[in-house]
Amino acid sequence: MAFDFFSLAVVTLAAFLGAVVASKLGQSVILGYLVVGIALGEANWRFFMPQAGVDLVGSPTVKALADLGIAFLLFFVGLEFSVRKLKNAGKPSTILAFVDYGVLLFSGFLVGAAFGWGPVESLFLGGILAMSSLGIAAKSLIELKRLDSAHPETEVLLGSMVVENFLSMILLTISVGWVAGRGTTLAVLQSVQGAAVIYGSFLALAVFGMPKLARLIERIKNEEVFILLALTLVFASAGLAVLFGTPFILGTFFIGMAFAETRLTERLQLKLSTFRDAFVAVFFVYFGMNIAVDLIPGVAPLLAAAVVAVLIDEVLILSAFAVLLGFGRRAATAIGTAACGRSEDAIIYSSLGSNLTRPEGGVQVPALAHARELFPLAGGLALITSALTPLLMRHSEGIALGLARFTPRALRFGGRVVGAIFSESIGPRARSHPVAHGDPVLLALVGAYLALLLPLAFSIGPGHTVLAPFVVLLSLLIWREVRIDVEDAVPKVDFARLRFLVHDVAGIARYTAFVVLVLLLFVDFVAIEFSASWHLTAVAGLVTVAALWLASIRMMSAITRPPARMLASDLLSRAELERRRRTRHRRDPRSFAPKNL
Amino acid sequence: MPEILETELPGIGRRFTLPIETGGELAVVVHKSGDKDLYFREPGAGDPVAVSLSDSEARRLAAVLTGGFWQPSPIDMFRAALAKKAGLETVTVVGGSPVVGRRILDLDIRRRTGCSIVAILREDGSSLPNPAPDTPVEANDILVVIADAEGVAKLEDFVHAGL
Repeated sequence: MAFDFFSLAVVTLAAFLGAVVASKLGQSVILGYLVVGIALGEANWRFFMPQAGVDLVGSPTVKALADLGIAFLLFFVGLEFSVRKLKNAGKPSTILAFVDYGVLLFSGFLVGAAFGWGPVESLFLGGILAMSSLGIAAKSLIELKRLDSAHPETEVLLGSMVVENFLSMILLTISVGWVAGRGTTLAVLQSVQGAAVIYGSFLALAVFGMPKLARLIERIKNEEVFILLALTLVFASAGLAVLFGTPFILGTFFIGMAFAETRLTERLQLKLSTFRDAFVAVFFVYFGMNIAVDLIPGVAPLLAAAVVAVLIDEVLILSAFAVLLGFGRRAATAIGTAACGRSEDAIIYSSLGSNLTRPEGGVQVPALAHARELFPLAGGLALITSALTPLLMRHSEGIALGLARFTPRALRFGGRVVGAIFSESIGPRARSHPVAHGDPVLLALVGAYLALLLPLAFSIGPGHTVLAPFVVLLSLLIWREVRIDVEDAVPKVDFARLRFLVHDVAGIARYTAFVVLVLLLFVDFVAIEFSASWHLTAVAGLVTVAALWLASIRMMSAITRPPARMLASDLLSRAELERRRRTRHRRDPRSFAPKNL
Repeated sequence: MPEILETELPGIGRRFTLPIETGGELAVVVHKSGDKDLYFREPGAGDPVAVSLSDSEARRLAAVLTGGFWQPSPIDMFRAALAKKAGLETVTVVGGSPVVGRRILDLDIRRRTGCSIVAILREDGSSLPNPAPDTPVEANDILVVIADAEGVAKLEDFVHAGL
């Protein structure tokens, strides 16, 4: 095959124009690449193919360099990402990342099901929806000046995106394995095995081999030798990943991660960033070219549903979880709105998904039934959410007020009580005065639970039947442990901040643990039904959870009463209530007096 | 001195937070591009004031802050430092003051004002640490004293008007 210089020249020229226009308009260059890519794809069918006999989209040269682009991009993501950063992400970030990722994966599944997509295709749809864009959030946070310590949620949401990045790598491995085996347990296990080897060897390299290796490489003074070695590392890791049946970007991501925070990081960035910038541009333009304009009307309803799913999941559900972790409503909606952006990660995901092939009758055909539709879907999602996210973030306070108005009072109350407890044990206030320290038993249980959850979701047959009761048992154990821990923590929590009397300390612990249990059981339910007939059961699950929520609201009203009702029941005068609120010191024997921290 | 707190902001850069003694908080966000954002929040105030600086602007500002462009004279800084650390104050004897030419002993400064003179800095650049009671006060002397604010005020009145 001759190197296709002509196509490459057209692509790089288009990328250049896209970058110039995008930076003039103050937009991210990725959007510029995408838009010119779409135009170029259309030009390809209408002009280049018939008139000049050149197929830009089909050019192997462009495709190869585009792949090189993602390889370098993920290498750089890895370089910015280290085990230390992952460890430092903190509990709120980690929990929010898992929630965000899980909820969106599930929503992607629901949306896919509603449009008649199969489970494998829906899984990729979920992957495209799940990963929040760090780039969009960071850009808007800088513009909105929310980087100081008066906005503690900023650190948390940035940290959670780091964790999500890691989760998306794991999901990518699993979903690619799943596609390869069309859902047989054996194929998933093989892929998990391959992934385990990759993850393990890179982790071992990062922890044990790296300091020595880094020192050796550091001694290289000759720049040419250094660049060649760096390129070898990138290519070899990609090749190794493919050898073990995992996507090549997994290899480059992990080798980048192994070199993160060594003294080589900056030198690698300096030397390789030119490669990255050049080939990433090719990749995004190539991706845009693959967005067939005639497919857009057909994909539009699905795209609209996907955007709605992202907005509901981030602005409503993620914000609600942030409230449960003890963030105020302003901070919580700031987190939710910032997580709305979808960009390069969604694009990479859909590109990898639609490039998967399987042999059929001697030729390779796309492994996913809706492979071509993933391009306009991810591209459209990126364009729409990039425009929406800064807008939503700017108005996050108004959104918070609006949401508060429409949330039922009992739910708001429950959220604040649970938030008060978790705020001081794992949430934003935990850093200064933790009321509960890490419970090793609980951590071990949660770890085991999370480890079993994915195999449960992706396995079918006898393995599934064996795993299911285990996971449910683990959720019950977690529930018991949370209840014990919360009972310890409740007396130390300062409920005075919430401005209402707490009558029943044990009730609060029961309630908090109950909320945790409902959420866990819901996750179990989804995981168990995931690979079976989950169309109807998913809806049934949602109804169940709604019913449980209502039950928990009843429980809530038994524990505390909103001030207005308390007036009637406790016969306290308004003035007396006001005095109590001001002094924040309760002597009422029935009420719960906070111990001084 | 309060510690400068360093926080990592993934995808953006690093933040350095300095609590200000008189209240409020100053934060510098260093972007990966080298640009810097300055944030200042007054105590109790909600939204911070923020300024974005390019790398070179930030460097020039830093040079101003470290005194690279202009710095008050060392003696002024010495006075400011003394006043803060040890309760040491300085009072300058202007020419024509009624105390000029009289001995410390005769002036009875300790009893009248509560100030102890620990050193005298002379106009010619010489200094008399721990001066003897019979040392005469000269015009343009700088008296280094240990005193509280009230004592210093009394001494200044005394030196200027002989009260």
